[in-house]
Amino acid sequence: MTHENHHVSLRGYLITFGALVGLLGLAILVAYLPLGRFHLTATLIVATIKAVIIMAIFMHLRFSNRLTIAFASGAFLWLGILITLTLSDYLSRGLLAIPGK
Amino acid sequence: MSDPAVALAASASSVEMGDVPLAHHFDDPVQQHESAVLGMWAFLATEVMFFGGIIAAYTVYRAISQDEFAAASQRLSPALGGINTLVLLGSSLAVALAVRGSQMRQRKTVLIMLGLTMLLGTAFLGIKAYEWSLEFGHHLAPGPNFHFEAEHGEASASASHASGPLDLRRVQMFFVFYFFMTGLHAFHMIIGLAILAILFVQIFRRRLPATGERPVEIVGLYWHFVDIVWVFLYPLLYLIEVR
Repeated sequence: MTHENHHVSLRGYLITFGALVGLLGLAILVAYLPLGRFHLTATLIVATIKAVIIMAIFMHLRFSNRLTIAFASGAFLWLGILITLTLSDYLSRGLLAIPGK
Repeated sequence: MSDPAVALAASASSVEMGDVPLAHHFDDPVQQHESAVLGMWAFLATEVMFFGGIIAAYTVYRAISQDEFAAASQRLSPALGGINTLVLLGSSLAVALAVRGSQMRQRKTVLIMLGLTMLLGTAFLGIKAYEWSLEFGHHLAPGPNFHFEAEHGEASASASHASGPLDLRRVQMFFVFYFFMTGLHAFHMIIGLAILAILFVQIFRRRLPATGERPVEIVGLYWHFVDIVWVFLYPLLYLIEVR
């Protein structure tokens, strides 16, 4: 399992780049579709796919050891906790009529 | 194994055969390489948290002022932002090819691709600066000179859920986030460009091995991270509700 054996071919990088450009086009296309408030979900899904492709291939996460993958995933796990807990506070304010809230 | 041209080129420095020397506390080059990569990912995790703070704040404000954010976002140019995304993706490809060149022990490829990365990175900053100058010119920068008028004719037709007048303080908050997020990102780009320039000069002067992949790969990881940040900023800021 040495890293020396994991050269991505030039063609592989170009295909990756092509896929990223395609996804950029898709994000813009989706933004012009009449989706209302689902724009955010749709464009964020596309962005997440792009980020995963960049991390897996450009950043060689696919060929990295599991500890490195755990560090990378951990960063986004913590980001998810940060946003989820923050929103659970802000979006639930006013749901209950508690005096002095 | 030994490439005479590389050996000759690297003979002036302490670097042997273009490889990164093995530090005494590592068992073998693979372990050394994995440690370097892991360390960089640990740093990138802190960077995710760093940008995460402002993204969480953005999320809260966007949740409570959706109409204002949609109207404000329409003042940005999705075309310029899209071109910039393309430029940045291209620079990511270039730096990936530089890393590949270092793995393949091709010094020339490394230098050309690092140069191309810097060129595209600078182009990104140039387009970004042009956008900012437009927005400053339209008084969209938050502060005493902030001026925003909702475009009633077109906006109300497309923004179907727009109800009532927009709260201009919340519109202004959008631009606070816009300038802080893109500014913070541009700041990372400038740091990345400085590091790339140092790396380029060091490799050009043969102070660093172009063929030892470690320095190029570590800088590449940082550059890709900055690209990923932009991949998320683009839909969050530009594509809220395009017309």
